[in-house]
Amino acid sequence: MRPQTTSSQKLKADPIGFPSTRWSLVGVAGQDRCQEAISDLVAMYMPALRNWLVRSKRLEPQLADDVLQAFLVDKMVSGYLFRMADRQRGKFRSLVLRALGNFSNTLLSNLSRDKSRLVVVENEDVLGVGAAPEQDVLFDFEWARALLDNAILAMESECARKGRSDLWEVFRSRVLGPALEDKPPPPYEDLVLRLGLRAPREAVNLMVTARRMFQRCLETEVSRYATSPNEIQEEINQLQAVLGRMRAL
Amino acid sequence: MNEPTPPRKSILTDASNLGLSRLLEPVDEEIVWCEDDFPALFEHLLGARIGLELDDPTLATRHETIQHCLVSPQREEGLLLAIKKYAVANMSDPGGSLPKPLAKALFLASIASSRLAGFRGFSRLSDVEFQQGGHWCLAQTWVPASVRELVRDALRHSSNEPGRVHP
Repeated sequence: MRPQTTSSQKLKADPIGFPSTRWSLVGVAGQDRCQEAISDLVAMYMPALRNWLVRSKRLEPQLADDVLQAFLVDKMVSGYLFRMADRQRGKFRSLVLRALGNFSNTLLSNLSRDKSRLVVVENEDVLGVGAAPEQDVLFDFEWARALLDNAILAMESECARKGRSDLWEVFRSRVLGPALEDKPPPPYEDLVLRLGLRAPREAVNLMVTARRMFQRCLETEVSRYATSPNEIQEEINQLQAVLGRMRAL
Repeated sequence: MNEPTPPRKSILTDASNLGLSRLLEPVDEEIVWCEDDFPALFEHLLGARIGLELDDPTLATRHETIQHCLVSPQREEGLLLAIKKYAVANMSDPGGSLPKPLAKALFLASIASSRLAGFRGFSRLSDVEFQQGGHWCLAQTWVPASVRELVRDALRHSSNEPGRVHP
């Protein structure tokens, strides 16, 4: 019996020393149908794909869940999409988006004909018609949101685990809250009173530590699909540009 | 493999798109506080125990506030020197605790205090440089009244002293 290989073991064992980027994970998922690699990729893509269906395709949340579930099972869990992936043809997430766009169009048009159920049609042209460029941007936006969401959750969990509610409080009130509400941060005195800070040095240390911790959580999230520091920074810069572009719209 | 489970609910709500790019900005340790924070930050600094804020082991047992060290009639040169040293470090250190303008105001306040106390050789700042710095300090709206008064007194004292060269 062939021993079960985890995706991380498989990546480390890669004979050409390919970095463990999204592409190596995609390769493992596509060639070997490694279930762990597929699970990792599905978990990574699911939140952004769902939000894209709801926000950009304007599907009702329940319908979006049904479409996504069908897509994940049919195209991702089956390993089909990973086998189709080609590094030379651009970002994997663009391929996923294009496939989901085509899949959902086909599925929904079938649904409009047969209103009783969602019918998955085999062999629809997954890679045929590309998504409009603005759809790429919208999906990158959802990708950035999902990434931030995970980084925020990771930071909150780490603070709770380490008993550092003070760091979470500083980050939440001075960085996260103002960013989410697009407002200036609350006054410095509020922070001092709420946390019982005795000197500016304490406030600064908390603030800097909290911001560094979030940066680390963010980089950890990106490092799930980009490896080198340059790749990670480049991805963060690109996502920041996407978010900035959405702000301007 | 089981079917994928639905994602958990996002922390980021629909109404939270506008400022999100701020979360991806690189950490700039020089921009921890904005200028709106300066008045409260300076008041907090003045009210902090010198041993706590300066993080100097030799001062660990000193409980005087920084404000007290600056304005007390019984000023101690050693404490004022420690405050000046701390301010200078924050003026030049990119990862310092204080915003640079606050550090500069604190630096000038320590010199103003030493001048009023008559500590000779406390600073290499010339009269002209001190007067320029003092006027800069008075022009900052976030500088608290107690420090303004201190600097104003020192400027007046400096210009009244015989033999001083006025700008």
